[in-house]
Amino acid sequence: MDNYVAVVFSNDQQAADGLHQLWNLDALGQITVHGAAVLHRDNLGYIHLATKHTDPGARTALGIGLGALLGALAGPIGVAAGAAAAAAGVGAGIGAAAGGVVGLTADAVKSGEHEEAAFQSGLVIHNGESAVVAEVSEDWATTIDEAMKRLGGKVYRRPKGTVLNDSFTDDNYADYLYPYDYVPYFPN
Amino acid sequence: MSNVKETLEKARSEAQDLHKKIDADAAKDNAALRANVQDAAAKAQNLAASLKTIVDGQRADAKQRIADAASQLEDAAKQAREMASASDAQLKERNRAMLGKVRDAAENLSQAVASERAKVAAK
Repeated sequence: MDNYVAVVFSNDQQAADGLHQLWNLDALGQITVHGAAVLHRDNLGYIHLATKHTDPGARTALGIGLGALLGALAGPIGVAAGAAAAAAGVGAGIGAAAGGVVGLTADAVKSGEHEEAAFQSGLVIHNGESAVVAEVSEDWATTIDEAMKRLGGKVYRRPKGTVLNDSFTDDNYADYLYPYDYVPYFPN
Repeated sequence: MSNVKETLEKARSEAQDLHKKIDADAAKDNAALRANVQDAAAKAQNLAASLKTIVDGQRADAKQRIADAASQLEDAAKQAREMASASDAQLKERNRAMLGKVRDAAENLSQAVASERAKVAAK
């Protein structure tokens, strides 16, 4: 089954380890990773994408899409937030703005105010936390769940088809995820 | 059976490596980018040609994925060749377009690999 997954960790290093472990599972043939990226929510609620060290210039474009993808992973309420953020922001701030709004939405989901969204995914990324977002093909959820649990991560997933149906664009998000393992880098 | 899987895995790995190379080239200056792009074009064209040799004999879903990947790699090679005559202003944009084509090809090959892995696991 083709799914989008978000694995939330308490810090960047754990998220980097989670990214590498996903690709290790791919190398073993236990899952197939089609793309993945690491992101971080700072103490002000803004989302930052960890790029490869060689391409910090790609951050803005990637941030826009990942903000929308996070919204889609959070469920129907998150999709609306992602759309609003994408419409409101311009330039370098848009990725951060999208992430910030999605983060707020995710907190609202946690508070129980939007039970429908919580049923769909319940994705929550608190300030200071990091996450791996990936598109994967998996036969059993337990393969990723157990591997990420060992690293201290919590897994959220939604079927790719559901995410795309909820999306406010025709985007399939593939462009925002690296199609191979990389060393996550957060430019200061 | 395993030969098909191994061939697909190798093709996917080559597409991933090509993406890495084009992505790394994007950070270089225009002269280096122009110098490196023809190598990327050759790699994309060769990979497209090798994919066409394994399309036959695949299941319909994987077959379409591989055919699409081959077509996208040919488009990437075409983009690369056109970069030779592109202005400096167009260069980065063309490189990004080429990167997108290779990204799409890698995604299609990854899906074909997933399909093949599922087929092997079900046996």
